[in-house]
Amino acid sequence: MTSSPTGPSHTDRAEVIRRNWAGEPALLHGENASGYDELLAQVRRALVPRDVVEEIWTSDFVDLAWDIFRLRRMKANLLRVRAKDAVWDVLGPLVRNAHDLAVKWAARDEAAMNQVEAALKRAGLSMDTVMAATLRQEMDEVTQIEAMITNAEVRRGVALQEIERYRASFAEGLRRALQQVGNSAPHAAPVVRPPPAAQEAV
Amino acid sequence: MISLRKRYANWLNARASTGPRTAAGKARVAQNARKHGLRVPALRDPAMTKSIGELARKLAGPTADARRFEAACQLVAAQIDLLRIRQARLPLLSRVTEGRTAVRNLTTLDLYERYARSRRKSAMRQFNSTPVAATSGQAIPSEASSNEIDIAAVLRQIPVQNVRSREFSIRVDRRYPRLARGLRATRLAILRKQSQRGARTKPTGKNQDKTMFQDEQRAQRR
Repeated sequence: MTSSPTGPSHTDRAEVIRRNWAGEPALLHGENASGYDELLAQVRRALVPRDVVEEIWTSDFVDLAWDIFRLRRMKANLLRVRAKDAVWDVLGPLVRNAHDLAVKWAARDEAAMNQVEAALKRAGLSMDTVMAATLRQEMDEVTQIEAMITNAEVRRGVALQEIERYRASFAEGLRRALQQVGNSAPHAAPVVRPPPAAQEAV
Repeated sequence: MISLRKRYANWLNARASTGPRTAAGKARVAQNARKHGLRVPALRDPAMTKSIGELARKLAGPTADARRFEAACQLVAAQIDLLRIRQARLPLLSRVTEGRTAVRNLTTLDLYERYARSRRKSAMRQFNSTPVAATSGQAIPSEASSNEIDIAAVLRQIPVQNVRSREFSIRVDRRYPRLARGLRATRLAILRKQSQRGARTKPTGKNQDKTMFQDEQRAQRR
């Protein structure tokens, strides 16, 4: 009995294959599992994997896409978390209690935030300066995360290429098999000829 | 300060007496420098060889030839490597904002992942190119793979070893409390001695980066 590639039994089997080959989804604490499932379902609908190989590459594609989102988010979070040190650095020559102010600013204290903005404005600076200072301090890590994002993007492309390549080779194999069948049984498909009566009439 | 002669004698004695002698001891100390074990492919890990072989046999099919079976082994091992790396990445990813070490370690794992992916890609290509001895038209039999080829299960068996060693040390503590106390005291004494030891090298006159044993310097002075 066969089921359609998108039918429920096929989906269950595909899920079993995916879990057997790729394990449980690698999610961090606090990450949205339903978001991952939604992404997986969308990609699966688009690629329609037909067998194990395609399931592996599809799962790979989804993991890498998820990884790219995650790394981008982490880069932003990293800069946000480390901005406190940059605020301290920038405000150091401007105000007296720069460290305390930076700590309160990081804790989103309203008064401290206003004070920081005012101090920056007085010196002709803005929050862009603070973010630039953060980036300068964290350049090494940001570069490394960027490199990881680039690698993941390349790997995601490779996963797609491999699916294409596999499908092409699979189609080629089928074509060759059909040719072999045709060569081994030349009379399998009868040649349609006009009946003798019609030939005589012509 | 110990003299050069005494140190040489100590070194000779140490060479003659230290180090594990039993096979179990040797096996244990062989893992002293092990950090995560991700550098070693799963195919070279004796603990996994059996599982890889079984999975590869199911993957290749009962009538597969040696080439196909080898490719299946490579494929399964590479997939295990990838899963291990992915598992190792998770705790590091959650610590990215805490320190610089996490990002550095992630970069290292990224390199390992590249190697593993490369191995898996070539293994998969080789596997698909090898002729299927069975009558099925697909390169990998989906029906068998869906239930029987559970690669993730191999990894679920790995942490057992660590748990076992931890349980063993707990058992020793409970059964032989005096021995455990003695071991802890010895470890503490060694640590204390190490912490009290002063710098054994000092910069040479010519180059501040180069250092020389003080004994050697003393020998030169004489």
